[in-house]
Amino acid sequence: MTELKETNRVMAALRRVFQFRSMRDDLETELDAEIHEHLRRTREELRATGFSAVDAQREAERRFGNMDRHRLAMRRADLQRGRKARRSRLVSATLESLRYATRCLRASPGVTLTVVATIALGVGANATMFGIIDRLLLSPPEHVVDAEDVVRLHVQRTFLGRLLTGATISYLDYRDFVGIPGLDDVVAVSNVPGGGM
Amino acid sequence: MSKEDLQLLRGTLDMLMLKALADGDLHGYGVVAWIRERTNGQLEIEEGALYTALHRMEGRRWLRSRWGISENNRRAKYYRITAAGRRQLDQEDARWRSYASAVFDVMGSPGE
Repeated sequence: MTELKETNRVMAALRRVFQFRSMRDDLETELDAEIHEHLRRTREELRATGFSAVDAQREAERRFGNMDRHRLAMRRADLQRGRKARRSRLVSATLESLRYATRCLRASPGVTLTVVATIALGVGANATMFGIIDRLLLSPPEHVVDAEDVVRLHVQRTFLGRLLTGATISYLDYRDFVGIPGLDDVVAVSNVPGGGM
Repeated sequence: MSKEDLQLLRGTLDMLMLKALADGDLHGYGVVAWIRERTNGQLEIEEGALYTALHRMEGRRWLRSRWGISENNRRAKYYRITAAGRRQLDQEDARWRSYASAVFDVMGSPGE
């Protein structure tokens, strides 16, 4: 039953959208009909007081004034009214939908509670995950002035004939590095678990 | 009628038209004829301007229009004053009277 009501509502909305063009045409037709009827009556009245057909036509047009300008002004007023009406229809339709949604939610509190809990958990989990990703990958580390200058340094050395690669750096290593061209600007070294600088 | 005169009239034009419709529904031609008759044709207003005013006042919900059959069996657009239109008419009426009496106080009443 409610499904049928929903369908009808959607169909009505679609009809409104697609009728827009023809509504505008109707407006033009009505406008012309109204003006023509007025001119016809004025002509008739003038003919009754002894005007010739040609003079009656001319006098009727003179009394009406600048046809193009007045017709445009009338049309503009009509279009504005149409817009206003559509806007108020949209507002009332939205309010009606909201009221309908509230009624539905209130009618089945169990479903409502489940949905609310599901959404709450989903939002919570997503927010938490985003916080972690952001901290690890997206935003620069805190308390570091030039975060883009922080590098991880791996050192290769030969020890007892074997090539060793490591990221552990001692203070003495640091002292050695400072003299090497290109590493003059090294300010600090820190051994984080897994190694680094 | 010169442009300045029309400018002066624009505020009162709405009032006159609402007054014309206060006694009953009329089509545009009827409103024009009513005003011409009551003013003995002294207000030479372009009839197109009256029609524009009708459409504008319909937009303000002071009037409502519908198509009907006129007394000589033709389709005509009839206008009807709304409750909001009557309120507007009363308001304009009161304002116009106090304005006119203030001017008369200075210039002397007609016939004095």
